[in-house]
Amino acid sequence: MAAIRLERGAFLYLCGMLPALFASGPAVAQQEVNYGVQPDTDPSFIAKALGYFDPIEKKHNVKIVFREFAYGAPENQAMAAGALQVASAGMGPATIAVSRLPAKLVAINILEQTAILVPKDSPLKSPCDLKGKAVAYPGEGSQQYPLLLKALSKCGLSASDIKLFKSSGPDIPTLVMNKSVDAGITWDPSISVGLASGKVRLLAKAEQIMPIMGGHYVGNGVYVRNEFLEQHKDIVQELVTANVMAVNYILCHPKEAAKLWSEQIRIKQEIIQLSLDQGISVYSLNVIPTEETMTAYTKFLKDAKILKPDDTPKIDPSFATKALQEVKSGKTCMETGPSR
Amino acid sequence: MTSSRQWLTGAARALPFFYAAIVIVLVWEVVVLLTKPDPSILPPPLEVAWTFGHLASDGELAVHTAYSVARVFSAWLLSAVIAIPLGLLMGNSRSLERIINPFVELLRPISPLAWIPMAILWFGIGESGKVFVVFIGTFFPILLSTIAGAKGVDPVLLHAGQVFGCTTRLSLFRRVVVPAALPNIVVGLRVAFGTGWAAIIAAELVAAHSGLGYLIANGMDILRADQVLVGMIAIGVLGFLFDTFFRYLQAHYGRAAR
Repeated sequence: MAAIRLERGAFLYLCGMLPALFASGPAVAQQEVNYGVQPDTDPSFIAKALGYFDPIEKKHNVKIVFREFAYGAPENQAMAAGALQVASAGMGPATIAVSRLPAKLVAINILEQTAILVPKDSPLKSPCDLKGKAVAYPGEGSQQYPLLLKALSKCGLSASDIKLFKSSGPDIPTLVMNKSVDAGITWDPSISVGLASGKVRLLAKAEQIMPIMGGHYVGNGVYVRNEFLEQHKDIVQELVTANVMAVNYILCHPKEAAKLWSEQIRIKQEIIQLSLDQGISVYSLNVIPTEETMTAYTKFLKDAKILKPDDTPKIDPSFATKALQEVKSGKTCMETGPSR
Repeated sequence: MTSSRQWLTGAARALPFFYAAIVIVLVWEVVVLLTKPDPSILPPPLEVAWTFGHLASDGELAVHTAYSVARVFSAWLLSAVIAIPLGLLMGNSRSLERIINPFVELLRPISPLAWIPMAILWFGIGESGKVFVVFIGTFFPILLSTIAGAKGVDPVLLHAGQVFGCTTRLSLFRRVVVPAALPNIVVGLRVAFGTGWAAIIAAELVAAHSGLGYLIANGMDILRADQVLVGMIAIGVLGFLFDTFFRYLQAHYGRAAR
């Protein structure tokens, strides 16, 4: 009986405390904007480092929180679960997300970013020589897999003509260096890490396989959950503009940008500089995801059976278009087009 | 008359499983109707059934299943070939058990999943690595059950064997110990197949381009929850069928041993 009385007392105490707890909070709670990123040469890191997000946070009383993921698939799973409002990922995962999730692609912020690597002394000269070889790749959900298929199809080869070995993107240069595999396709900065070691070389760059935007392959996209986009159009616009401003900074000050990235993603500055110098990751102020580019890219993913025939990616180019106009009205280092 | 009664008994035994399956599908459908989740999180049962039919009709599901079953079966067979004789010997020889047991007890707690990175390094990216991981998962249950079976032979049986002419240790071992240990061995084989089945899924999640584990991992990568669920259902159904088969063997050999 005493225990029941004690429990009832505790319950009433909690009921009394709840309003007090709510009342003691801030008048308007600061909203967290969860922004999914991967530790790569994403302009978002530069935007953050240069404080381009600060005025957005202040103006809208939000906190932009970077949530880091090793690769696109878990990032998409987090977005599917509603844990991310904004995400930046490789175009493969980004297109899968905007086809299957309530989300829209708002910008393409990195070009290229993918290459096939082979050991320095490999006799292979082109992707056509890959027949019968072991090739490491980061999984079917990555953009590297369909790109590899595309490279093979140009030589009349298919996935069954090679020995595919799934591995994590950053481990692929090591597998190539150790000659555990004959070749590997991965993303940047892992490509540049491999190249900087001097033990691997490029077999093919993405632009040689599928040039679909300004002579380059599309590397990375920014996408936003529909719900967030509808409720916070202005925040989305300012985030995209911050990304384009960051791209402008990268184009104007590549050395400083490499230094900032190095601090943010903990990769040596020389390696990032090598990526920029050799055009492994390429930047353009024109981050607009056009219908034409996306149609070509979607067909590419459908051919690789990654997207279903009835999958239609949702895009909204208006934010990138406005961001480009806003940035171009100020001082820019280049007009539209690639950084080289 | 007997065959129709057998059929009825079989149907009565299967009924609870059908009931469980129907309840699961109904609850699943109700959850989908009430919460209306995004299909990338929880697709409706009909969509999964369609994907199942599609993957089954184009042969993809059969190929992945065949790869997984072949890997588990070869590793399980290899384990049985090594673990059963070793277990029988260990169960019959205290000195041998004293020598080998420390190795078994040191290695047994290491999960087969922990061996995956080493398996890739030692055996590369081919089939051997995956078979090795499943071998680790299947070897110890068979070994331990066999040892228990060999050690637990009723002394009355041993005495009866001696009375009925098993004068040498070898003949007693062959004609009494082995048959008496058989029910335990079958239990070990059954348990091992289950652990092997769990291990192969994990091995295929990491370094494979085929198998049900790969089908699931790939489904996760490309946000195809329907594909993930098809893989899970296939694993569940196959696991159930194999277990039923081993239960039958267990009952059969249990009777034979008695």
